[in-house]
Amino acid sequence: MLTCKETTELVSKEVDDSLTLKERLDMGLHIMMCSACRNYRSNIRFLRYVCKDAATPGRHIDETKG
Amino acid sequence: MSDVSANASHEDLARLRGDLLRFATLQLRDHASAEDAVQEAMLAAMSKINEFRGQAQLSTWVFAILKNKIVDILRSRSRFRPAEGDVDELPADSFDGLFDERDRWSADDRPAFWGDPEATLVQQQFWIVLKLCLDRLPPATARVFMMREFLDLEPDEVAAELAISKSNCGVILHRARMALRVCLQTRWFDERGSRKC
Ligand SMILES: [Zn+2]
Repeated sequence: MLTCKETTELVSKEVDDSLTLKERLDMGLHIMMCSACRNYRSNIRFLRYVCKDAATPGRHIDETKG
Repeated sequence: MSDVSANASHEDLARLRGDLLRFATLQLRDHASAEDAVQEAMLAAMSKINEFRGQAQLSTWVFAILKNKIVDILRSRSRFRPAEGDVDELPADSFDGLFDERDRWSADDRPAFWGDPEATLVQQQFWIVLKLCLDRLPPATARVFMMREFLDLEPDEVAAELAISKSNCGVILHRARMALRVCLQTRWFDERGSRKC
């Protein structure tokens, strides 16, 4: 059983590299039972999404407005 | 500039310039070099202005040029301050406080659900908080994170650009995300939550 700390490391590895089959299964099992790590993984995806958005021309909101 | 206005209005160009400047400043953290990079990108795009049909294509093209310039600048900076060993900026134990003795999340630090990013993106304040959180990252850590998430380079490309190992790069990225997540949680989501509920 993975610890939460190990799971956060795999969340990054999943994004930057790839997971082995064992890592995928271990993480899947942990995340199924641990809502905090489930949220962590979704937070990291959220973070990547907003960064991507900031790097897309015209999509970005003008902070001088409003 | 008159031939430019045939394709894009001056307001469009001013808005585009604002977007570019914000993007460059976020990553270069220094207004003067951001201005220079944007200037060069705009000039490079102007020289090819006749090849563009419409503003959207121009924006995409200038952004692509700007991203390349930013990579160049970040790469040259890393020569003066090598990133190898920069994992030490955020040491391995930086986040120990978030976990208990069995490496489970501490009760107060359990990540919360953030909802739909689209709903957050439309809120002006969010960008200010995101910038603040990025500015709080140590410089070399921020450089690695920016190259990966804003300039959209693959981890091995980032590692090659900065002459660090791929595993070092992975560790820096992981710690950058840990730090940014905590910052956004406390400075954005907790504050909004307490205001709303
Ligand atoms: Zn967990």
